[in-house]
This record gives sequence, C-alpha cells and structure tokens, in this order.
Amino acid sequence: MNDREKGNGQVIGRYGVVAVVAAFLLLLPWLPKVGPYFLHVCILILTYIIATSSLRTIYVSGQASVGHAAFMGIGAYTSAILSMRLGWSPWLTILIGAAGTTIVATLSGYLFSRLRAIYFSMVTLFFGVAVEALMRSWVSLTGGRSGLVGFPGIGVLSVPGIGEINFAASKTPYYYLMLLLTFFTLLVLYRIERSRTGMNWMAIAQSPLVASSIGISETKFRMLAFGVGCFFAGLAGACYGHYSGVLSSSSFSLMPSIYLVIYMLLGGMSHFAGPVIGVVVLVAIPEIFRSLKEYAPFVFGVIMLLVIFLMPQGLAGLMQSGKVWYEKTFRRGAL
Amino acid sequence: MAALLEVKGLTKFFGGLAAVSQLDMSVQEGVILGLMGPNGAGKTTVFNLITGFMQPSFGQIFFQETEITGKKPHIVAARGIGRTFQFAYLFPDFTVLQNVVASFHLDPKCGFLEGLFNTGAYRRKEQRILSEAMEILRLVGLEREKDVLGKNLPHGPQKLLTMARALAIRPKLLLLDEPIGGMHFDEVNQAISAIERIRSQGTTIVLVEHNMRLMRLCDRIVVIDFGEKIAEGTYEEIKNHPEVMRAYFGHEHAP
Repeated sequence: MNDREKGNGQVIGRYGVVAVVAAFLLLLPWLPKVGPYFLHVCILILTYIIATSSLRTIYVSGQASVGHAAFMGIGAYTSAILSMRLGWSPWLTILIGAAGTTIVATLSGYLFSRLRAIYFSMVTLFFGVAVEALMRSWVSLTGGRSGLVGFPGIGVLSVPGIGEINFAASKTPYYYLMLLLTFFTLLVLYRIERSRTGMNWMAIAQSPLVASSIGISETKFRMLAFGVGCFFAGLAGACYGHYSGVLSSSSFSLMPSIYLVIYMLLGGMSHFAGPVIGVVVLVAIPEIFRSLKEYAPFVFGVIMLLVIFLMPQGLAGLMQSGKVWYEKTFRRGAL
Repeated sequence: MAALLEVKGLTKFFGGLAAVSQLDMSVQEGVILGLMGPNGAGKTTVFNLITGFMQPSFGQIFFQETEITGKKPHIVAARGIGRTFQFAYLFPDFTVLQNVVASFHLDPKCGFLEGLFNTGAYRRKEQRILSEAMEILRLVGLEREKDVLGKNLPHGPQKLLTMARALAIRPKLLLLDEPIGGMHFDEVNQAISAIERIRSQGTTIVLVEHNMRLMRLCDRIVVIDFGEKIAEGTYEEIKNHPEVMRAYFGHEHAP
C-alpha cells in the first residue's frame, strides 16, 4: 500500500511518528539526566545498528556469515594504524579503513561464494578466527594481547560557518556523527534492498539454481552483497576504534560475531527494521542489568532459544502480527 | 539457413556410464522439437549440458553459430536460452508476479546505481517491466494468482509459472523439461495453448515429454535411448519406428 492509497490521517500519522522519533534522537544529548554514560551506550547502540544491518544485507543474499566482527576489526585496525604510523587525519583513515575492508571482503567473498549454506558459514567462522589470531599475534603492528593504544581520536573539526567541533571534549559530537552515519547506512542499505539488486539477492537466497537459469550470476551478486555488507562493518569498526581510543583483538573475535547474529535474529531477519530493534533491546537490557554482566552469555542463549521456538520472525515479526491482529479485531469495518 | 542450436558429438560420462553419447542434433529457428526417450535415456542431461548446468565430457554446442560449450548457466541464459526444470523449481517466497519480474534482470540498464538512487528512468523502467510481466502471466493464464506466494500455488500452476518465468528472459530458444508432468486435464490444456502461443510469437522450443498429445505439437522429434539417438523425424515417422517401439516396449510391436 503506498501513500496515495492510504487515508490522509494515516500518512500524517506516519510522518508524525517519524518527526517525533527524529526530534527525540536529535535532541537526546540535551535532555535532562542524559549524561556521558548514557550517550556512550547510545553510541554503542548506533555502532551495532550499522554492523547488524549490514550483516543482514549479507544474509538477504542467502549467506549466513558468522565472521562479521572480524571485518569490523579490519576496518578498525587499518584506520587506527594508518592514523598512528603515518599521522594521517582519522577522517581520511576511516574511509581508507572502510575501503580496505571492502577490498578484503570482496576478494574473500569471491572465494567464499563457491560454498553454500553451512559450508559458507564454517569458512566465514574460520576466517573470523584467523583474522582475530592475526591481530593478536602480529605484536609489532597491532600491539598484540595488550591491545593497540596511542592512536589519535577524531580531535577537532573546523566546519566553516559553524566553528570548531571538539570531539575530544564531550561525547555529543561523536553521538551526532554516529547518528548521521547510521542514517546514511540504513538509507543506502534500504535503497539497495528495494532495488533490483536486492531482488537478485533474494532470488539467489531462495534458489541459486533458478536464479542462474534466468541469468543472475550467483558469484557476482553474492560478492556484491558481501562487499557492501562489509564496507559498513569496516566503517562502523573504524569509527568505533577512534571513539574508544583502544583496540583489543577480543572485541572482534568469534563471540562478537555471534552476538551480531543474535541481535539480528531477535529483531527479525525478514524485516529491514529487525536489526535496529534487536540491537536496541539487546544492548539496552545488559546495560540495565549491569550488575549481572557475567550471566550475559547465558541470558543470550535463553533469549536465542525463545526466539527460535516462539517467534521465528523476531520482534519485528511480532509487531507485524500484532498489527494484523489489532486491525482484524478492532477495525473490521474499516477493512 | 543455419540452425539456431547445433549440437555435435555431445557426450557425458558419469563415472563409466555414458549418459549422453555422441549426440548430434540441430534445431531450426521457429520449430518445436520434441526430445523423447524412456526414463533414464539422458534427456534432462542433454538440457543440463546445453544450459551449462553440467560440463560435457566431449562434444560441442553452438547457439546462433557461436560456441557455448561449457559456459556458465547465467551466461547461457544471457545469450538467449531459457529453461524450466523437471520439477517445479521457483522462488517460494516471491509472489507469482515477483517470480516473473525477477527474470527481467537481463533487461539492459538495470544498474546498481540507478536502483540505489531510484532515478526516474529506473522507476519508469520497473513500471514497464511490471506491465510486461503481467502480459506474460496472462499468456500462461496465471494473471488472477499474481499476488499468491509461489509456495502456496498448487503443483500445476507452479509448473505454468516456471514456464512464464523462463519466457520472461525473452529467450530465442526455450527448453521445457516435462512442462505438463503432474498436471491435471484442464491445466494440460492451459499449458498446451500457452506453448502454442509462445511458438506463434516466434520462440523456438525444445521440449522433453512422454505425453503423446504434446508430442503431436512437435514439428520434429528426436528419440534417444541410453544416451544415443535412435530415431529422428516427424510425429508420424516416429510413431511406428521399430527402434522406438523396441526402446519403449521391448519389442517391435505395440502391445
């Protein structure tokens, strides 16, 4: 149903909701009781939204990757090391980090595209573990187990007309930067998914055999999905690195990759908004119950099982069926 | 006139077994050619070899006088050979209309960037594709089911849909693998009239079938058994051919 077919009230209602959410997100740092810690959690959430949504793009093409955090790591380390060793501006190295991640992903995606289903997942898992081992063992470049420190943050940005924005002084500029990047990421991923490229990805996911019989190159489109997805993973990783100021290989190991999958599955893989919902719920809950942090993997496991058995469509799917139920029950006359 | 499709000495071994052996076949433009043979004769293997889903052990395949031997399936499709499968393979989570629309991938100028920026030209093009897809659905008689998910269709309409999908790549040559297998009477009529209309629009067709009603549509029939061609000719010539009788019934007379 497009806007023209809807009643005026519904359209106004939808834009109204969007306006309220946008206003809330833009004014968030200025709301009372919002301190640096709250903003820190928001920045984490935005980073994970970029990472999880880009992971979903890869899943849309039928590729169940379990090594997405490794690509965040490639972006993060590339950007951090270049800015530290060569003294380049982080603005530049973040882009180089994302581009480098895309190149690595496209090349490995070409090799991985020969494998399907569980074999693909296994090889991405091994790749992720290998990348993490490399980050841990290449001590001269990455600092090894003690982590990489001493690379510059984003620092001060001079914008003509606005003045100087000091990223080091407070978390607010970082929050706006990540908000902008998240908006950009979601917009691009949404447009691609709704275009013919997205249709080809879904076709390959459903039947590679039929897809190739109508002229869709499985290798090309799977590489493309992997490259696009990992570009945004690299971007999120690079930004996060300069934000936190310290990189440890364990942030990009197998467990974080699996967490990304869990965020996506809880939110609902078949809905574009799924990763957003999943990340907000699953990053917020552990922060609220911070004192029980050791039990997080256990809680995640239970959540995972509940999702798989009770709501395979995820939270987004639950909202959809709730809406259908509501319209059937209360608005029968209107239908 | 040169043939649209020319197969020369096509051979495929599975281990020590020759599934297809020294097959020569040529398909003239505008005809319906029937490929016949008992179960396991190698008919589907021939299709798979032509469309690149399998690599031949020996032999060559020419399409429009260009060699396509061993090319990847999506390249063969782009050259203009559409196919269906013996089973009703389709996109189960796409609607009937989406199943056909997906086939317009080969339509030129469906670029990544045009789609990303959703340009006016791109939107107009997708509008045109929608109306052309509906046209194809009308041809096979599925226009009323356009919003049904592929997986929710009964078997017969599913097979009709696979035919529509193959047709939507605008092939010069259409390979139909048992297009009416498992269909009931009305659906068979629907399929046969669709095949006749496809032919009248100038598409060359090769079809694999056991059903004699469908074989009567064919301008020419090639009969293979154990991968070898045992007879070729019109329906009338094939009907009482002794080799064909032997292949199907074990002796030279109809039982």
